[in-house]
Order: sequence, then C-alpha cells, then structure tokens
Amino acid sequence: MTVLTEAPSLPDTAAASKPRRRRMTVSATVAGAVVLLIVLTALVGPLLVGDPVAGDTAHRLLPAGTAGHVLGTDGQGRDVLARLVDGTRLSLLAGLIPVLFAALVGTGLGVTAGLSGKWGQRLIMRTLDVFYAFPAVLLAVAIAAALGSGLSNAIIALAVILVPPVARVAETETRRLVDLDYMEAARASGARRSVIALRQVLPNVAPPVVVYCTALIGLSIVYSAGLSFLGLGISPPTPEWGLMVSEHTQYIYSAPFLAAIPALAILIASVAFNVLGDGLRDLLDVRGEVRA
Amino acid sequence: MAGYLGRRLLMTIPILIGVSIVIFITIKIIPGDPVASMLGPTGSPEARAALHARLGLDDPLPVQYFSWLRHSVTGDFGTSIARHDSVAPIVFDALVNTLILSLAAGALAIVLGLLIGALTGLRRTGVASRIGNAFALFSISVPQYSVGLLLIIYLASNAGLFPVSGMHNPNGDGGFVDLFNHLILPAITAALVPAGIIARMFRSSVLDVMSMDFVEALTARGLSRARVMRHAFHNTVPSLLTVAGLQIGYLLGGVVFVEAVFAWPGIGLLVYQSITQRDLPVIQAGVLVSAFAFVLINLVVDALHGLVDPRIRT
Amino acid sequence: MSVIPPLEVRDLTTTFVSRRRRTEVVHEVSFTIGRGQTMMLLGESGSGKSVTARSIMRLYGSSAELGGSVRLAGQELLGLAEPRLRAVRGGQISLVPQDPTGALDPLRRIGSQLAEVLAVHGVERVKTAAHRRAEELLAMVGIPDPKRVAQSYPHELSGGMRQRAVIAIAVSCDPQVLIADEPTTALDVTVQAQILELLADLQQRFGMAVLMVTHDVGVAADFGGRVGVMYAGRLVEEGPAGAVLSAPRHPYTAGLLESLPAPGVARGSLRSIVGAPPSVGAFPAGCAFAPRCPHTRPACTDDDPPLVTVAEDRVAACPVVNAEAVMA
Repeated sequence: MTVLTEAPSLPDTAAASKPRRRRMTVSATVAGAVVLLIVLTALVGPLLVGDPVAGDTAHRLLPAGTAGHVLGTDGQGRDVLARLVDGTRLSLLAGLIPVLFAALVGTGLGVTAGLSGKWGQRLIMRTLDVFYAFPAVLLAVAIAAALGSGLSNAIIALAVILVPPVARVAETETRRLVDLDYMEAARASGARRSVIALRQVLPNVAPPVVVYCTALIGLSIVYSAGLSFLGLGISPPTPEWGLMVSEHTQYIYSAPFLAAIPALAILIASVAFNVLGDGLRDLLDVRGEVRA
Repeated sequence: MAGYLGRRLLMTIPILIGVSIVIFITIKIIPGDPVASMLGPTGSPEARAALHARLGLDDPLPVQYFSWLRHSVTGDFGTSIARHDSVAPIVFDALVNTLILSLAAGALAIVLGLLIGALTGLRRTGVASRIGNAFALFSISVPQYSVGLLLIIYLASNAGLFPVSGMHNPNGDGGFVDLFNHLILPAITAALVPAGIIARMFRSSVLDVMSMDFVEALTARGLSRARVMRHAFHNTVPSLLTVAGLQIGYLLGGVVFVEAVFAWPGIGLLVYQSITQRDLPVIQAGVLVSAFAFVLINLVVDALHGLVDPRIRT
Repeated sequence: MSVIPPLEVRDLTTTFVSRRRRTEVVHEVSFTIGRGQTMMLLGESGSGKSVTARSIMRLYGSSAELGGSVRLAGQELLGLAEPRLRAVRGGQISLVPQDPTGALDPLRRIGSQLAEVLAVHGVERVKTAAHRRAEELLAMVGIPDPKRVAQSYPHELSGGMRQRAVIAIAVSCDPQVLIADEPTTALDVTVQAQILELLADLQQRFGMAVLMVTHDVGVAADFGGRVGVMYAGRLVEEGPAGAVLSAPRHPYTAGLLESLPAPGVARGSLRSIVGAPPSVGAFPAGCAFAPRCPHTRPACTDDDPPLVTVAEDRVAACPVVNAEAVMA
C-alpha cells in the first residue's frame, strides 16, 4: 500500500500551527549568485576587457583559446569575450526594463481593477483580455516592427506584452485581499480607497508580483535577444547577445561554436532568473506558475 | 453545457473587436507614408494625393477602421505591396503551414510534458526525476533560435539526417514523407518551451491531486491503487487541457523564431519578411488571422474543458 | 463469553517515517468496540485521534510504521496482504472523513461513485443493478430525491447532502465497523445534528461498531457509548461517556470540560487550560500533560504514567488525581 508515498502532512493542525521554517534552496542560492555575477559583469565588466567594436580583419574567426582572445574572434576579427562581456549590459537592460515597466503598470492596473467596482474592474480586465488574445511573441514582433527597429522600441514592444499577465496576478491577489476580513475592517473604519490601496493592498500584492516578475525576467531576456536576432533590436556594431547569435550564424559551418557562445550566455541568464524566481516562490510560499 | 458554450461564444465577440482595433491602431502608428513606399521615390505629389484618396487614407480614422474591418471580415485583406498579389491566399497558406508546425510541436510538447510531469510528480526522488526536473527547467529558459541552429549544425548539416530548411524538397514529390522530414527539427525546437511548461504544470497538478483528500477516501473505499490513480489522473485533465491549449496558442506566435531559423513558410516568417519589406497589408492580415486562430483555439479548449469538468459548466 | 468483538485495538503505535526522521504520533493506544457499540476518540488537534483512526485502516501506507495489533472481527489487519486489505477496506470497515467535499471525486456522478464501490466489493457486479442499489442506498441515508442525486455531481449538492452521500458509500457494503472522523465539523450547525442522528440510526439498524473521532465534547456527550480521551498521542482516560464526562479522573479531561460554557453545548478551543499542547514529535518526557497540569508533582516528569483501572470499567493515566480521589 503506497498510495501516499509522501509523509502526509499530519491531519491534525498542530503541525500547521508551528510553520515549517522555509529556506532558500541550494539551487536558488546558486542562481542568485549567478544573477549577481551577471549584474556585476554588466556594471564593471566592460572596464576589464578590450574594445568590443574594434576589429582586425587579419585575425578573423580565431578559435577559442588563442592568445589574447580567450573565446576567439568573430567574422570581423573582433574579440568575442569583449563583445560578450560588453553585451551583458544591453542584454540585461533589454530584459529588465520591460519587466520593470510591466511590474509598475501591471500592478497599478491590477490593484485598481481589484479595488474598483464591478464596471471599473470589467473595463480594465476585459481590455487586457484583448491583449491576451494575441499570440504574445508575434504581437511583440509586430509592435517592434511598427515602431521601427531600435533597442527602445523592442523594449516598448516587450513591455506591452508583459503588462497583461502581471496585471492579472496583481488583480487576483487584490481581490483575494478585499475578501479578507481586515479589509472589511479598514473600509468600515472609513479609510479612503487610495489609502487602503497604499497601506493594505500594495504590501500584500508585492510579494507575488515580485516572484512572478523575477521569473519573467528570464523570459524577457530570451525574447529581447530574439527580437535583436530578428534584427528588430539594437543595430550593429553595438554588442548584444541576440545580435551576436544572429551575426555568428553566418559562420555556422566554419565556426559552429561561435553562435553557441552568446546563446549559452542567454540560456544561463534565463535559467538563473527562472530558478531564482522558483526559489523566491517557495520561500514566500506564493502560488502560481509563469506561463508564457 | 449549451448555455456555457453560448456565454463563452458571446464573450469572444468583444475580444475580437478589441483585437481588430489594436491591430488597426498599431498599423496607424507606423511612421512613414505607406503610399510613398507603394509608389517609390518616383511618385509625383499628384499621384500620391490621388492614391491617398483612392485608398481612403484621407477619411477620418473611424471610417477607415470600419471600411478595413468590413473588408477583412469578408476575407478581403487587400493587395500585398511587395508581392503584388491578393493578401488573403498568401496569409491563409502561411497560417496552414504555421498550424502544421504548431500542432506537431504541440503534440510533441504534450507527450513529453506529460511523461516528465508524471515522472517528477509521482517520484520526487531519484535520478530520473532529477533529470526530468532539470529538463523542464532548462527547456523553458532555452532561446529557441539557438537550439534550432544547433540542431541544424549537428543533425541537418553535419550528420545529414534531416533537411536544413524549408518545408518541401524543391526536387521532391512534395509528399507526406518529405513534409515529415522537414517538420521534425522545427517541431522539436518549437516544442521545447511548451514541453517544459506543461511538464512543470502537470507535475504540480499531480502533486495537488495526489495530496487531495479524495485519494485517501478512495483508498478507504477499498479501491485498488490502479483505480485510485485513474480517478486521480482524471482530475488532472482539466488543468492539463487549459495549459495545453494555452501552449498551442502560444506556439502560433512563438514559432516566429523557429520559422525564421528554419525558413518555415508560416505566418511568423511571413510577418517577419513583410516587416523588412514594409508590406503593411500583409502584416496587418497576418497578425489579425493568427489572433483569430488563437481565440478560436481557446474557444475549443474551453469547450473541451466544459466537457471534462462539470464544475465549470454551471 | 467469548464473543469476538468487531474491532480490537491493542497497543497501536504509529510512527511516521521519512528519509530524515521518525516521528511517533500515536503511542500504545488500546481499546475494544463491541457490536453496535460506539467509541468516541476525544481530543484537541494534534492529539493523534485522527491518526489512530486512519492507522486502523492502514491509510498511511509505507509512510507510517504501525506497531501493536488491530483485529477486525478477529482478523489481524497489521501485516495483512494488500489484496486482502483492499477487500476489508470499504467492505468490512469504512471511513466517513471530515470534509465530504474532499472525499468525493468531483468529476464523477454520485451514483457512479457508489456503483463503483459496490462493483469493487462484489456486492453488485451488474451495472444496472449497481445503479439501482445506489439509489436505494441514497434513499436509506435520507436523501429525498435519490434518482436526481445519483445523477448529480458533488458540487451540485449541499454540504449536508454530500456528507449523506459519503455515508451512503461508507455503509454500502454493510461494514462491521464504521470510522467517522469529525463527520460534522465541516458542516453547518443546523445540519450537524441531522448527520449525527443519521449515523446513530444506521448504527442501530445494522449493528455496526462505530469509532467516532471528535474534538467536540458536546458531540461526545450526545452520541454516548464509550469515550477515550487522547492527549499527545496517548489515551489518557477511557470509560463510559456519561461517567467520564461527568466525573473525569484525569486533569486533562477535567480541563476539557471546564473549558465549556455549559456541558454539552459548546465546541472549540480549550481556554481554561494554560499553554498549548506539545507539538507532534516533541512530546516531553514523563506525563505529556505535566507542563500544563495544575496537579503536577516532581514525579510526573519522570515516568510515563500507565493507564490504571480507576473505577468499574474505567481507566485513567494520572496517579496524582487518582490518589486524591481514593483518599477523598
């Protein structure tokens, strides 16, 4: 008889009255360290490596491990390591800013919707539903295309598609809080709606939103690099990971590893943020899964 | 059930209207005069003005919108600027190709996701479970364009197992085997992210259901483990349907990178190419048609959901 | 007098095992329930009463180690092979859990869930007959419109109706022992009495032995039979409900009763006892109640006091109170 393979939570509530101490898992701690490393690289990395733009056509496509070029050189003889490190800055920014924007706007919309009456809530959420009806990536591509290529336009396009899911998380959480008794109490005591929003709701809505957004960063990094890969993000010769993948693709037969290097950077950054998001979710005991 | 479906159908109407408005506005904010790009640098100001008037571009925006909507609803998406051909067949051909890729990738993702989710949900320890968790984690973080490239290098180019790109062999008979060969690599690439998401969702759904009281209650009724598991898995179907539907919908747009890498002639590639050619009617129609397909898929998923779960019918 | 009782529990000990640690939750609990008799397990959350009930049916599987002996009509359940155990569960011994919502499969109609149990236990193998029997059972538990309810999904019924359906499933195979784990806690106050009445009625009709788990002194007093008071995984007092609840011989039982505003009325927490019960797996040495007990002597923390006979047909595990009672 092994229907319950896990030790069941004891049916009586004594166990629940003494909450289990939650800790960050090992993998989440490692992921946090990697995220820190990426941020540090973005901040000070460019000072430590050579010029990422200056190329020497005499030394094109040098293999990794060549003296002076640890990761080799690209098709225009530029140092891959220098471009990778320098590209961290823009790749990270292009991933972070849309999420930051979506977090602010999405939380604002979600909390407002959750606190407004039936019609206000419907208006906001049904409008956001319209954006849900688009295949997100295609919408981002279309918006970025409509605005014209360039980093800022790619960022705007991504921000637009990230707002609705964040707003949904914030709205669900707000409505859950509104149903709780202490909100009743706050309202009964005559507090103004804006005061309730700031004092009672925001501090409680913040944790799930932060957790959700942390995991969104990984997605956002992949997408923004993808837009650059399609030529809708940053324009050459500025280094950025997605653009590097695209540039290196030309040499895919002569130097297959070249395209793998920036791709690996994107993967590592994305995994790190995703694992960190998972860890935070377990730590703060927030439910919900990021769905792209 | 009929009432539920009816309500659900009604709800899609305002959404579709909203979708069309968003697309219309997006196209309107595109900088530059579409007429200028149609006529090229040689067009005289008079010719431009004439074309402007003929295309109705001087009308107020609402008038332009309703005129565009009226034509779109009847399947008239105008003429492609770059291809000098009617947009509708171009877009629908591309949509069919995208659907082929999305459904193949979706099916692959569901099978993979279910296997990994069930494995990691039922046995939380052990090597296989660890590998499953790691796969689910990495696959959702993977940039598809890079995976596609790696597959092209190693399986298509170096090993020569599969064709590098496209959908049919130009010299082939265009039969099913040919299509299938071309489909494998893009489908694998596109399936990775949804497989990871489905695996993670299914895992938590399995954990949820297995810890539910009714598993214990069913055991106490004297049901065999196999029967109890059948009940339990039945209860994961509703959430599985929801996430699988979402993912197939996501694939409709998400395959844009995959289509670009493998030169798969779908909506994503079409929209992407039309962007570089500033072919607005095609972009407009492409996004509109895929959004409609997305809404339709969601509708089907909701109907199935209602069929499986009596609780949401009422 | 060698009648074999329907349920005989001897020194039942339940230890939850995980890879990291072992936690003993129930310690050497013994009691016997005769045909048509009732045993109430009374205690606070975490006292081990629910675990005791579930251990009897071996519902924890490999996650718990069970010690002692559980005899169902003379047949030892601990160590019984899985296929035999399955036949026993739901057949000779069945469970009415606390929350009827969680106990039913939300995606299956009530009638089909009943028919499944009947088929599994070989009571009615033919589908049509099983469904007819299902409707009879629903009528028997006082459901006014059994045909409609059989066709209903759990979410379409009220809490009270759901619990009646759960009870119908539990009694469908004519069990000798019915375990009811807080069968009324999840229900509206108005429905609680009806459900208890139904259980008492069914018990009388079929002569089932009933083991009822409750934290509600009022329920224990109303339902009668024998009562076993549990604290920290141990039975601390046991005897006829009337006698135990009117003249307790263990300070914990006394504390439970004092916490009631009026006997037999209230439910809920035990505010008159200072402190909180020890958490599961962290039971103190000696008498587990000693830290909260008004009668504590130094000797109380030395040994685990055994259950001793304190009056005719009654046992209690407090030498201090019993010494006083004898002197008084």
